[in-house]
Amino acid sequence: MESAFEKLTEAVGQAIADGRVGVPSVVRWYVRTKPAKGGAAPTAESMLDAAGAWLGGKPVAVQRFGKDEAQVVLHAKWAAGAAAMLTAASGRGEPANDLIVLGSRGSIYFGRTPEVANGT
Amino acid sequence: MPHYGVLLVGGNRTHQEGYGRSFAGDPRCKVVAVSDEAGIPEYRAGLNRLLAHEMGVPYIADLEAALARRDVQVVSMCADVERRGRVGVMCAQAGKHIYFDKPLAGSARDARAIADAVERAGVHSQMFSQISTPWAQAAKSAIASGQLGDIVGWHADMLMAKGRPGTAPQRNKPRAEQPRPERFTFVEAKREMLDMGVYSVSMVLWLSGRRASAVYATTGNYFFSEHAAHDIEDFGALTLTLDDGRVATATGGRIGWTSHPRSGVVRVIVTGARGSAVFSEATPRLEIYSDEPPFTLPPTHPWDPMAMWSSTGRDLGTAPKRQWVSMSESPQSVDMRGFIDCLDRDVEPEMNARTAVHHVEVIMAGYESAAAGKPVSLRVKAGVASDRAGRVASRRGS
Repeated sequence: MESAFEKLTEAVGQAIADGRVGVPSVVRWYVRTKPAKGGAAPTAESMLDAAGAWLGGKPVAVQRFGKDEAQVVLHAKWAAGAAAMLTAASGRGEPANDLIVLGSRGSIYFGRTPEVANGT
Repeated sequence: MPHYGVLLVGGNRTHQEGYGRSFAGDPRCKVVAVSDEAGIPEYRAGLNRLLAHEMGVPYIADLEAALARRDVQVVSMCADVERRGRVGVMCAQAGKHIYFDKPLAGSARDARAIADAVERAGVHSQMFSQISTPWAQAAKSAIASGQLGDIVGWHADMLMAKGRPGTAPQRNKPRAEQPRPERFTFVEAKREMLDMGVYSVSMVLWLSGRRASAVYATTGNYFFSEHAAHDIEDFGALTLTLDDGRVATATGGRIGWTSHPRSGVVRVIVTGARGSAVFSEATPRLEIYSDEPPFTLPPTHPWDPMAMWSSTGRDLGTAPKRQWVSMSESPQSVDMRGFIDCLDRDVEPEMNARTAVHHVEVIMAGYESAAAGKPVSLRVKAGVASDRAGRVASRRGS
């Protein structure tokens, strides 16, 4: 059975393939998972694979920041200039999954992160 | 009874369109004139005169003369980014409190010169930012309350949904960034990592209470032909390693009218050991779906294709997006009012010129990083920072 992660990856890929947002250029993605073996690192690697599928294969440069047990940021670049900033966090509390894909003619949003109202 | 005379530097097609009216709307303030340096291009002087006319105040074409007026206590400063160092120093030397447009300046050297002059003059200063907004204050409160646990990361976005997208030329290789750009402002477009990114950079640094020790950045020209024509970026992403080892990220860009249901993505996600939360300009909001005609791309103004200024939108009769309805006051009004509150209480604003110097240092390091393709160390400590030319300049007066 497909996981929620796989469903999201496939749905975004289909939207891109259908030309809904033009040429995809930027992936800004934040995922928080429950504490797991390996911390945030495995999630970050899965995110990088998905971003590669959307942006055109393997990145030509990946810089890694943070600590595996709490938060890993992967800042990746692709040969034609596309970029991804991927943050995987691991810890207690509600899981989160907040994705923005910026294309040349539009954007894709997926959000499941606790929102805090500001009291307006 | 107004007790602050306000001088506006800069006019239409600058953020003075909003700041000036915010000052005019505060009963503690009276806008006394619009001014700018002598010798500026005629188109700029004409736009300055136009704002003066709209606001019913005189235009003084000699900034020195305007600053000598005894009925001016506050300057709202919107000179072009490239002139901000010189003009900001002039305003401080005249002994006026200064409200600065963002970013503080177009180079770390200019930014430090402004902060030095402000401190020598003993005046108050504030740069416009988003920190006064209810959503930013909610983020600060949530962090301080401990409800998210120990904080491990901050991730801010400022992605402006204006401009006609899909016009950038398709590239087979990345656009090459300049390590030390000197021009940021053009009639048709701006360098967005500085112009929009400063909101996100200032947000994560303010929330963290830290300084950045290293920056890794990417810039791109993904959306607009106007940016391509000037070989400038319409998007920038920065990863900041803070001086305590924690990591923050920030994006700044312009993504096109059709990329968001309202004005764009303006938010911060905070990561803590006990949870994550997103704090957004768009929360709370009304969402209205009806049989009203949907939003359509507005006509492009020849002198403002990126729709940066309210005056050009007014000229075109641009219809606003109407599905998401903000429930918040204009961030400019909230921020300006906070500045006047500080003057009333003789309290130094949080987002003062000295604080804003570091934002410029971070973003300039970002350009250097994007050009080199590797992280750039800031080596910032105790008021000493590597400047834009790679030299080391000591903070004067410390």
